[in-house]
Amino acid sequence: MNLRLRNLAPFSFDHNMMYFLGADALGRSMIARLIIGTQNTMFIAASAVLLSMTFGGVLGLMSGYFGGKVGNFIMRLADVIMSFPSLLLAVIVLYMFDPGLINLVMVLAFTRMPIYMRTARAEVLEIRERLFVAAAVSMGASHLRIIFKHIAPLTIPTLITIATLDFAFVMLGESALSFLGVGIQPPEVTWGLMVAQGRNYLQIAWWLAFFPGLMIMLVALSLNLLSSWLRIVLDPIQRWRLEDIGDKNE
Amino acid sequence: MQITGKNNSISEKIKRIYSMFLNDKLALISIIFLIFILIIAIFGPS
Repeated sequence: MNLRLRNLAPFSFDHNMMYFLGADALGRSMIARLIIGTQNTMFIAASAVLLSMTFGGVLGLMSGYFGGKVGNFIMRLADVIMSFPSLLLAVIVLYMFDPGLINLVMVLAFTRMPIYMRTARAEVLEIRERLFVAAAVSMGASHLRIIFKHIAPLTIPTLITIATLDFAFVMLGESALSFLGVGIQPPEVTWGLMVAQGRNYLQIAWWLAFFPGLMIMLVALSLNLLSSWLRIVLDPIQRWRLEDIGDKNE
Repeated sequence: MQITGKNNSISEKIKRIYSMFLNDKLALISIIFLIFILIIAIFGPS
């Protein structure tokens, strides 16, 4: 922090390399803040996606496999969660409770769970009718063994593809919450919070909001492209589109 | 992988994944960028 360098313009070689992307209104290096923001943003997004994929996936597996009252109850639970606008729910919960890191992760994970529940259930409904599942049942395998040993491995690739895409959604959701002031609170920093703080200085210091916004955009774009690649790679019917040319290159 | 006659060792799998990345340059750039971001997040100063 150097108060002499308040709102220092970017791409200047006159100072330390840490000030190459400029400084904010308190003279703090933009590069340092972006790095710390990366840590917080990635931690929140990764934790929320992992939690929602695990719990949503398991609930979806159980719902699809057992069906009946258990399946219906889990699906109605998913409907209830989906019926609230996720951002509004997050705003209300974070406004009522302490807007800390853990609460933010929990809220984001909770609001993203229905996607995994529905996808896992849809996959299981198809897989449970296959012969190898019938064979496992006839061999006397327990329900848990059938679900986690025989059915889950076939649903995981689909869930991973969705998780990659969801990572970008969660990141944008966290940025939106921080932007609205109910996400991470200063002195902690995330990319969304940096955009929110830079909004007041857009006329005189565009770089305060531009660089974190650019990072959000680039990571979201990369995750979308990667999920598109993963979707093809994990689909045995379409995989040849990527394998074919690769073999010719060898 | 005995049916297709392909070697299923880890190095072969990595080669296959790499060749699939080569066929989709945008995905390759994306994964390099994301790994860079992850390295910053994990090993960067706190």
